[in-house]
Amino acid sequence: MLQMLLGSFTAAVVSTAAAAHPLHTTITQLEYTSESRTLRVSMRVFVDDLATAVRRQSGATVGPNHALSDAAMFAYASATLSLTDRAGQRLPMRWCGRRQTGDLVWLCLDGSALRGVIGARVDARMLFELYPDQVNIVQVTDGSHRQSLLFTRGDSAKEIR
Amino acid sequence: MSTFQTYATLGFRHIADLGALDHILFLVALAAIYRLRDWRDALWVVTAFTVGHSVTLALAVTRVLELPTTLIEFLIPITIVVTGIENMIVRDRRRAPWRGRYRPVFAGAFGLVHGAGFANYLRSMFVDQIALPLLGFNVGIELGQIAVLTVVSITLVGLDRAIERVGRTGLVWSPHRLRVVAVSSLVTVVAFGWAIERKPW
Repeated sequence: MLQMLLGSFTAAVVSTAAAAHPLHTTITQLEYTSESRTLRVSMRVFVDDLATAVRRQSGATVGPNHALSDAAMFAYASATLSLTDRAGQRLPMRWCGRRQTGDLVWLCLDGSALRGVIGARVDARMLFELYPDQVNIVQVTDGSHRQSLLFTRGDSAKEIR
Repeated sequence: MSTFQTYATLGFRHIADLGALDHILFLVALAAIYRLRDWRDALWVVTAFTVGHSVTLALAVTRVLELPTTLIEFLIPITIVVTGIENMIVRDRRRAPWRGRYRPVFAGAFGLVHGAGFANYLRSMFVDQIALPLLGFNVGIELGQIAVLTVVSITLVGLDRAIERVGRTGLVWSPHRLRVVAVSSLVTVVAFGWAIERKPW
């Protein structure tokens, strides 16, 4: 009986952990410029994960090497990253391009925040639908003020202080 | 939350996550031979492991060192297998070479391999600064290891007591020896399976 239990445990552990342990993380930089009252968001994500998420979200066709259209990426980014100001109004964002280096892609979004970002709320839900251990880091910069926000599955929006 | 806290949280989650079984199992293999009274020896070994993985993590993240992922992922279970076998082979550590004090050295060397494993997934996470996030991540890993080792130590004490209870009816080996062999053989078999799965050829 004990041998059977040990054997089952060993087989289960071997099969579940045979693959290496990846770190499922995205990093988003959110930079506010008080002079122009504008926001620039740079979201960095692994391109294969993004392709899987976009395909699942919209059924969009993914080309060779995980090639995606800008529209599909923008739709996914704006659906999973939201910013609301102190009055609870969602800040509209525009697409400002992308840059790919190896297996990473940076998505650029920008917008305006007339009341600044302090007191605004951020919600970052990228790739939560794919990985239960997904962690999204949002680094906020407002002049010399820096703040990091960490999001895991089940978290709600967090305030920039 | 500061950048340091963010990365410390990330490091803690990475090591304390059950998905990181290979690193947890290595800690189990390291701890398998120690009793509570040996905590100083255990601390030396774990500290050496931490120094080792911190070195390669720093080298890999700063791109001084580039290592093939497939080779590193294969070597990680090999470090567990070697540690498990060493646990079982060396019966009397006082009579072992250097009175068994080589253990921190190989824990440090194996730490180099595990650090490269962390780095392969971490390298892409540093955007505009390295030192502070790296320090935070290492501190988080360290705290995660302490948490894992606390749980492992409590489990091993419980196992010792269970074996002692059974031992009243007569055992060929001492309860401690039985614990070392039982835990080490289980860990070795599991890690050997991973090594086969991850073999780079």
